[in-house]
Amino acid sequence: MIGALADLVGPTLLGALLVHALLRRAAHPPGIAQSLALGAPLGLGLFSLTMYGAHMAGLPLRVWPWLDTAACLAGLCLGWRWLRSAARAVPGSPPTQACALRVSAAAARLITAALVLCVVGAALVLALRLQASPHGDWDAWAIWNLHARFLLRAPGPALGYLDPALEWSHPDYPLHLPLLVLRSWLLGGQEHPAITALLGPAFLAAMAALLLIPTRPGGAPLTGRLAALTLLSTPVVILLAGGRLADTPLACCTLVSAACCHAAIRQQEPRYMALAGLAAGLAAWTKNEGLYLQLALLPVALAPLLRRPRGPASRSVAWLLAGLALPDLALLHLWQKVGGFAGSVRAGLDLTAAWGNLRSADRHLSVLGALLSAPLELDTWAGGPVVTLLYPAATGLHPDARARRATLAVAALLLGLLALQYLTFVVIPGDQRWYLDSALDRLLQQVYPALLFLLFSAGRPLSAPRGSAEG
Amino acid sequence: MRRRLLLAALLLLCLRGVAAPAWTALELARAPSGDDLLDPRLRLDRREAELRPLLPRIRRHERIGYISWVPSLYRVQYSVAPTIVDLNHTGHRLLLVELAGTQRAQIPAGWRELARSPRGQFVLLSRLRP
Repeated sequence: MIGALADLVGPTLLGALLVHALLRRAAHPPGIAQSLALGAPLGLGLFSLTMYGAHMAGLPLRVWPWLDTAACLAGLCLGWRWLRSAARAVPGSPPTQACALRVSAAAARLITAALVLCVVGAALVLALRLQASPHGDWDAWAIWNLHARFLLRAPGPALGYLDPALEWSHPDYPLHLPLLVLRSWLLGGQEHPAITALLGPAFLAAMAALLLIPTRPGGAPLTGRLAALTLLSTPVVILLAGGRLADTPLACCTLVSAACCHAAIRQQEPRYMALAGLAAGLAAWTKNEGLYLQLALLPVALAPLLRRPRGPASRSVAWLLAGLALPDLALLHLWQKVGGFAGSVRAGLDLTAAWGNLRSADRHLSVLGALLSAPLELDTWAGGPVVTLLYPAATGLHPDARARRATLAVAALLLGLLALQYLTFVVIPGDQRWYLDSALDRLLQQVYPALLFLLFSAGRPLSAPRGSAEG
Repeated sequence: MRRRLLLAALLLLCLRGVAAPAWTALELARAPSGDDLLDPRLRLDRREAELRPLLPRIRRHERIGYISWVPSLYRVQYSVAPTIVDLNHTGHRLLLVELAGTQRAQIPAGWRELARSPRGQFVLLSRLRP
């Protein structure tokens, strides 16, 4: 367990340093906690991309633990001053507090106590999941870990799983997770399931931290606690994290993109778009459906250009493209390597059938019905999406105009994502009912943390009475 | 009115936040160990009894075939896809085939039968890559 935790320390610290280096000159630079929350998922992704480059360049994998440790130490030494300056930075009087809704000290204590109990409950659920399925769920075992094993045992930079006999294991999927699993095994010195047990929970913790600690210094901590509480008490979120499937990292990338997009508009800091782009690129580097995030993010970034082609909007697009560059280049390189398999996937697509499905009213009604009824299932969602709607309804909308504009942008991003998922379910060949039953909850879970971020940012922030420790 | 609505929303969010993980943990603790906890339809059926005698043979090939990493019996039922591997790049492959109904084993050329389940529903094959 200590080894598994140590696996996460290096990428988290280096990711935090990247965030801090990029945003230290911003009007409201993120503090250490914010940098760590944003840095953990981005750092893990960057390590995966670096490993891919090293593997393709023919670097022997046994060298990796040394390089990994050296990179972490070098990063720590270089970033020590930055971390100290971030620790010293005292955020000025945050404008958020001016429009905050004050709640009683008892209500503030209730929220904090509920969050603590919820974290304990979620940890218990994760432990039970680990005990019941030590290798994770089926996809973790048969796709991600299988690809990792073939990479680990390959004599050179070959993708050993590109074997027609293993076509059932989705060899066209990208390598974000397999390389993280491989890294954990290399650092741990053996292929033990416990070594990778914390990968899913790490992404879950990063999501909870992102909701808990707003990207804006001095934001509303009580609202963040409510958002994290709602996330960690949603059964499907905890169960999928324990299953070590790709859906948890995808949900995390979506949340990072949404939060950074919000921060870029609210704080008028285009550099946040580089992080949003990097997260969207990492989503595509995780699984093919992660490409939807890029497709939904690009119009949100490009739309302001129509009104004013020069100025901050163009800088935002430039930073977004810079963030997308590295993961997309890796993805293009991988696609070129697995071209034969991608070709077989394309051959399986029947455009005439897809067009026929698109015109079928029954298929649209099935997807709409499933989309509306799925979030009502108590065993899976525990009413999370419905209860959260109460928050902006009870507090009223955020009075700050720039905050509302940022919220609208995030809403457009999530609507775009949902629309792409909706279209996929309508046109997908084969048994639509089966796809809806087996994939709908997973896909909704990918959007859910960002939806929580949206709904809790749309409402007025909460604050505890002056002098209260809970504030 | 708004304050009451806000208080009700906060209470509901907190109650849900404490109750939902506790309920999920209780459900997991009550579920049989080794079962697929996300989907009760995937619970073991009578194939378990049929497959059990084959497991030692599968595990004996631990250093050859990917199928040997089947963590527990419930995984095997998915692996009858069929699953073939060459994990160690030794040229060895292992194949577990499930035969439907009265179908008899049609062993492909070059494959060797390693073991068969008692009622012949599952056949474990191996071969060296030519």
